[in-house]
Amino acid sequence: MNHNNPVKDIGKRRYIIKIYGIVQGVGYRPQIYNQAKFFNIKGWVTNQGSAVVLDIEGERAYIRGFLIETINNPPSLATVEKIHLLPKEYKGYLDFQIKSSTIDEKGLKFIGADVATCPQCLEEIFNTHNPRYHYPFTNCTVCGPRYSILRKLPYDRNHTTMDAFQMCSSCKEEYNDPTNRRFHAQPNCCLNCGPSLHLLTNEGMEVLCIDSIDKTIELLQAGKIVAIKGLGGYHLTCDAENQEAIKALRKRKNRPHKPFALMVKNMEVARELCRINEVEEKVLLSNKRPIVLLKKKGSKGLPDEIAPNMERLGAMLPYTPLHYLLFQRGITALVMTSGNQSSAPIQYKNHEAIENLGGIADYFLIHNRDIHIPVEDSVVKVVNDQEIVVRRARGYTPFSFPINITQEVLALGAEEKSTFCAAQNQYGYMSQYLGDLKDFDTYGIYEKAIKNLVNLLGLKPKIIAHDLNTSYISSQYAEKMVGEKVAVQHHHAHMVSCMVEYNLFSPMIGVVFDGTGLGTDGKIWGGEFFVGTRESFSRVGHLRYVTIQGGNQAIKEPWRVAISYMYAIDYQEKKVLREVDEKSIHAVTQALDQNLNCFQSSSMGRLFDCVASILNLPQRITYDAQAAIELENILDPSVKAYYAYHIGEENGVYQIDYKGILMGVLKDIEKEVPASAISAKFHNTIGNVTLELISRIKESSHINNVVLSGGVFENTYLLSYVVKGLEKRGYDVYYHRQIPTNDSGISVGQLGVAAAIEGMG
Amino acid sequence: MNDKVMLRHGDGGKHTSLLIKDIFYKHFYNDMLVNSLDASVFDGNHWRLAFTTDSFVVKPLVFPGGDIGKLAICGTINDLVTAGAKPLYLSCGFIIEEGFNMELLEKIAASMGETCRKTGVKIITGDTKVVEKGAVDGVFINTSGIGGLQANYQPKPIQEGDQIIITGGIAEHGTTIAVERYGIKVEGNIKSDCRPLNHILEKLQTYMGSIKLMKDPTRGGLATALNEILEVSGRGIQLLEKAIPIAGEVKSINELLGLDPLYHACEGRMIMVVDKEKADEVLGEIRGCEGCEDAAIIGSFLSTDIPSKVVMETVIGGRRIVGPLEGDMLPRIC
Ligand SMILES: [Fe+3]
Ligand SMILES: [Mg+2]
Ligand SMILES: [Zn+2]
Ligand SMILES: [Zn+2]
Repeated sequence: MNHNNPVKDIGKRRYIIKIYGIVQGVGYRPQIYNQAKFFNIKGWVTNQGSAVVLDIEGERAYIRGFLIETINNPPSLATVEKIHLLPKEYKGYLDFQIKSSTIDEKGLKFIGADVATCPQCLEEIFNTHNPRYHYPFTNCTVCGPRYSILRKLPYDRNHTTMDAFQMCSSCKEEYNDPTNRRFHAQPNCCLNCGPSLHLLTNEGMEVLCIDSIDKTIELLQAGKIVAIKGLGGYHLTCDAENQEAIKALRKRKNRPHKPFALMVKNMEVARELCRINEVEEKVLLSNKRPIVLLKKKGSKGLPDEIAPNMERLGAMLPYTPLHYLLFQRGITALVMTSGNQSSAPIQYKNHEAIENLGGIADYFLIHNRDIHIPVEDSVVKVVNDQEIVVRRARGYTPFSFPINITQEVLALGAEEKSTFCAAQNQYGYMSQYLGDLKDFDTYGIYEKAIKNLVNLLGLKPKIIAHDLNTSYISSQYAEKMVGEKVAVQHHHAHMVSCMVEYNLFSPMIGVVFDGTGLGTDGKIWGGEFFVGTRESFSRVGHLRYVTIQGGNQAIKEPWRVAISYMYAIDYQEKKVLREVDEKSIHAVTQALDQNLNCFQSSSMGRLFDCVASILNLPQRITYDAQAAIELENILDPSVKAYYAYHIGEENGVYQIDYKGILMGVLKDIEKEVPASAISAKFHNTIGNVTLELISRIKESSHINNVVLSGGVFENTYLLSYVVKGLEKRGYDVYYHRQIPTNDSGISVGQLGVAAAIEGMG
Repeated sequence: MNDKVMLRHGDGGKHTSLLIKDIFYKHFYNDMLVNSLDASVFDGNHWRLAFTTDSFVVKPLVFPGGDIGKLAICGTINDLVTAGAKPLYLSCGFIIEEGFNMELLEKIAASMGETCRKTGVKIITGDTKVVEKGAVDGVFINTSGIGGLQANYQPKPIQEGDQIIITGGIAEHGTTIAVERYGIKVEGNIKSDCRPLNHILEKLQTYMGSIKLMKDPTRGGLATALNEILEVSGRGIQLLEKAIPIAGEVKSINELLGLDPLYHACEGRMIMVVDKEKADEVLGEIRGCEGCEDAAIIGSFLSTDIPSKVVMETVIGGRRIVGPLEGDMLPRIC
């Protein structure tokens, strides 16, 4: 080498580094810029596709220090998934620059989730001397909207709905200053240049007021229902202490029982209402700000109408500046339920919201930052000190995970609680929770969200995975797509979704307790014991089939299920069903005699419905799994007894007999044993029979790994019972934490199965 | 006459011709039929013709509101009507199980004859086969029909806003058959809507230019028929649940048995897609027809930029996707 200072140059190195993961829109480049200054590194950094790419040179030792800092201590919102390091010939850069983004079609793509307001932004909002005092759209590189406003990658302002606003000179300055915490904060804005609020009547007329937030608080305190546009869509909001307002909201929303979520002012208020442990507190305060299902404190509290017959309240803390501002004067808790009519999806467009929610809300607090893709609030709970995600949406999606397939795949999910998944470059991307596709508007958003993700990723799926049930609207969507179709059995998808969560590949015992899914024999499954891998399974046991009358209606009317079960075990005393009229009992019995509109079911969910009905819990449910949820809620945990059970065998397949279990329940009713004890005994019985059957399967299969999945495992008592029992017996047991155990996890399982079948091709 | 149909009634000989004369000619009587040999000849040069065929295998054979015979005539007539054709001539083939009750056979034939007379349609050729016991279930009937097209009717492209009319209460036939077949005892009297619809067409002569499409919602019911129309038109359909006519008894029986009336066959109803401007007038005319008093506008076609599905605005305020019938009515909610 022929340089002026050979000693120094010998120690110099140059590398091109690509960092993949959630690395954009999280303040990574400014951090890298500052580190580069610190370590005297020259070169540049840029966003490429969804990766961050660096071309750096400097002293060997400094590069080392720089890399350790950059990779080990990324910004708080970043998740580094993969790093490529390529040594290059020394070039002699003179400075370090942040270069403008380039598009890379082929690279790995990661999409950031929406983030709750950070403490620094919060401080600004409440600082009277700060220019952003009370500005409800304040954000920075570590907080604010992401996925919900993103049209395409890379994550740059002109690819978001914030492109409608021109940054003022002071925002621009922050944006361009590498030392500022708003350096390249894409949605950066302020009072002078950013979005603004408007308060409207439900006819869309502007309400004249000095401060629309103050006026909104006033209206809420006066018992009005206000539709408030948030991060991922509209909420319907009312004062949580106002029983009349809550009643009105239930009535107008046509939602008689399903619990409402709360937003509470702060942790103190949350603690007044609920018992909260450390993990729950951490989850509540996390920057994902989910709704957390918390145990209600007994006596005092808010009106029962918020969550009737529920042990738990769904509560969250404020997560946008606007939310914080709503709690400034007096209000401590707000009912905050998705802005929709009964089963419809959350409203997110201003005009449509006013049109569709005008009959529910008295007022609308809207703003003009468009939501590109709606995202509902996420719902989680904490079981055995572990966060369990029930509904993956805002803050939790898009969710990416490694998957063993290089081909591009689209997995279309189930039908209720739908989600979908895409795979590209050995990564899976799970969509947000979208809801029941039989609802037309939800279906519209499902189509839109698929197109959006396909567009963000530049996906050209070769393989389309869908449920075996071709009557699912998602399966019909698959039918219209070009590509190789893979039909996945519903409960196999449940099992594999858990295997994907834990990156498991070896053979497993899969226990899938579920509501309804089509089996390979054309019957309705849902109380299943499998031995299998991602590719295939064999059904080694199940709840014995019962003939259930009433088609889809049976799922909404537990009494039909109860009569069907009593018919099957030949129990004549139908009058235990006090609230069901004789005419209905007679008609269903006749139909059972004639096999009219009947189906065969091994569903565990239906057995829970049956017992709930026998205990005269709701005979007609108004939200999914209501009967089973109420059955769990009345349970007396001090009761350890259980009913006698029997496991039969037919053609080498274990069959759990329900007759003995139900006779036990019915005899207890005759003896007037309290419902709380019957519920406990029933739960214990299902727990025990599950443990027993697993141990029999282990004997023959020599498999010690158990995967638990399916909607019935949302039942916390049953889940803990089975998990503890298995752990005590030395099994390795896996149950859902990140991917929901209900049908919104199905798309992940479909992807797992498709990937296993289609291999690495 | 023997009280049972025997194999020899189908041997083509003397017994066959006795059967034909004693029962079929008696009830279907017209010159063209009795004067024909192996084929009937008729003059068709005034018409563009429509031609259709259908086989009928309903169980039970006799049900409130009709029987397999009436059904076989109405079904084919109505298929011709959907093409905008005036039904003229029918053929009729019987496949009869050995041992079939002769009296019942005559009853079926009589009901066919009566339906033909009422509608001015002639059965001008036919065939009879008798098969061994167990080879068919009672009697199967095939009818084919020829109709003359009304000069000014042809299906037209469907546009946004076009209205959907149903000519009367839905699910009556399907519900009646379900209840009868399974011997479910129910309160109230429900009966099949089985009826010929050619008179509607005659009444709507002046509106043929405004009628864009006709379809009879038989197998798979209203829901399936609308999904088929949707496939053809490429447009979504908005249905209003509260506008769909359905008799109280029919509704409550379906609720009791957990059945969805949208998927039950109708055998005397027509779906008509009508230009928005004329829909009310057309509805008025239809309502003046016998048995169509409950006709109603039940929905309309949507713009092509919304997903193309049949969507029902439900009574409780949701918008539910209504798919076509998929095999059995299997539950699919998870
Ligand atoms: Fe499921
Ligand atoms: Mg037909
Ligand atoms: Zn911030
Ligand atoms: Zn500004």
